[in-house]
Amino acid sequence: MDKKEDLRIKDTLIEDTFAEAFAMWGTRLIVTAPSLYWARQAGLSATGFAASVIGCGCEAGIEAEIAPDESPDGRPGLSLLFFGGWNDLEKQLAARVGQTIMTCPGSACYSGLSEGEGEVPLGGALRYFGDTYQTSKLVGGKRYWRIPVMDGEFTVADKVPLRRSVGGGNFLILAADEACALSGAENAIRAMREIRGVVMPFPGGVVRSGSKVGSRYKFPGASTNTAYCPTLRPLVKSALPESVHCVLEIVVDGFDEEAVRGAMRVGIEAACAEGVERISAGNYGGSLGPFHFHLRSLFV
Amino acid sequence: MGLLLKMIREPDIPIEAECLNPSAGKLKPSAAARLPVWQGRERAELGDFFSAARMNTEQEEELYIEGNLERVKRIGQNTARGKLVVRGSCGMHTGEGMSGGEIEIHGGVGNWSFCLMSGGVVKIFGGAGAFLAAALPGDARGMRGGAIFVRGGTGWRAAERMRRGLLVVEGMLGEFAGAEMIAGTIVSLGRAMGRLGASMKRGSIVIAGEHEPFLCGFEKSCVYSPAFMPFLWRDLEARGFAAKGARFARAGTKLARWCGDLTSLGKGEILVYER
Repeated sequence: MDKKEDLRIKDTLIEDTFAEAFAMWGTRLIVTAPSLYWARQAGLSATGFAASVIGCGCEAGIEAEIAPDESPDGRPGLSLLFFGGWNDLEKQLAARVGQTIMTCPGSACYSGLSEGEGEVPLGGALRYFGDTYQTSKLVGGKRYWRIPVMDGEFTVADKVPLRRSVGGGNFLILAADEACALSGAENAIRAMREIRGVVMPFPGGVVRSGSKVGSRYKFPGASTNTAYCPTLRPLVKSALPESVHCVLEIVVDGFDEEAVRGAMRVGIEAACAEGVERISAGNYGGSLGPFHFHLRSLFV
Repeated sequence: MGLLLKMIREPDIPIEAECLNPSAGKLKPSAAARLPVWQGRERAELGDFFSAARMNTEQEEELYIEGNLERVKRIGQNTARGKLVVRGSCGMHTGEGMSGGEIEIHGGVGNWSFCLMSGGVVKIFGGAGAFLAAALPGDARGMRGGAIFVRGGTGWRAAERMRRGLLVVEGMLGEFAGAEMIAGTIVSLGRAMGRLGASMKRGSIVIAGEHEPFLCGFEKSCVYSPAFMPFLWRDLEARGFAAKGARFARAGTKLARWCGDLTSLGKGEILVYER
């Protein structure tokens, strides 16, 4: 595509830039419970405070609801996706499942991936809670643990596979005001949630505190993305045109490039509306992350 | 290419034919006919009792046998891979030491069958004699892995000292099933006879049908709906193992859990449908 040629979707300019994403490990857990309400409580807790690998140890979100006839044990459930570094993810999965899913009434936790590049212990790490009364069972060639708890027992997969994934796909919604930015972001998230194999790990899927690498202080590794803060326009080298007064970012993690690309495409399309001036993306010049999602190429 | 063996002469004295496992399926008929068998202390050849012919099969190591094999012992012994299909009943020690592959028997099996089993899948469409998948005398452990489905009933002491694996019995589960069980799962879809799980330490016995009163070493602990049960049951249904007991596949089905045997370690369980 000719760089000089503007790409617009419903009058919103798609900037000629790219999102830079990173290699991560990812997995899918299936959480079931006696009702969708309790599955959701478990899912929300397990994926809470999992916005960024830097501050939270992993990135996670709810991928989809699972109907009883599609779930492993005939009960309603949710599929949850978790992303992060191998060692961090191993610790985070055991801690989060142990503290938020095992504790949730009636819950059970299965792996939602049949295979990966390797496995990390889950039930195998939690089973000691059973104080020698836990039992293991092989079902379909895979081991599960039944841990006695006060409402009966907690069933959990012994190990879960991890697969190579992509973290940090993103785009920025540059809008005339907060209402337009929020509306665009909400539309984007709604559309992106239809895509399987991705989650948007921030609250409601949206980030308002995008960051840049480095700081004017010595100790933080990252600080506020000054170029996109409208309040700093006269003070810094701003990336915002005059008509933009609010910016929101959407970050997307997925199992592969295609899933992230697909989610970004439908998200951007849905975000473009009156008052959304531009769509941009965050990158570090292309030198840090191996995955580059050029915004305009999403629509070729 | 596999091999088809048809019985041409029923032995008057039982023969020991541990060569009758799927690995024989890749032999030429002439080579298969020369495989050694023992009849008492006399050495004989397979060709003395069976005719052999090539047949088209999916796997290389596939063996099909037809005839009344009740006097043929050790069929399928040490099967590690491939498939064995028997159209007829088998004698004692069938499938002993099986570690993988698949055995399908359209008939019954004699006593002491599938002892020392550690892997693979077995479907028996008739009944089974005593000591199915049990520990051999002097052995500390019975079945160590794999799955056995029996459409008919079993004799006594099935899965005695079972260490791991799955036994599903659609007919009558004989007395002392799961005695001294160490781990694993027994599923009874028909009628479970008395002294079930005597002295079991760990492991699960699931009763989807009728049962005799349990031993006094078992104590009812609670009534609950374990999520694990429909999960397990769906797997059994997918394998074609659970023609009965569909209610176990439904979430919320109430089960009574009996802990036992308290005369032993007591960490085993009998799960029974609670009406």
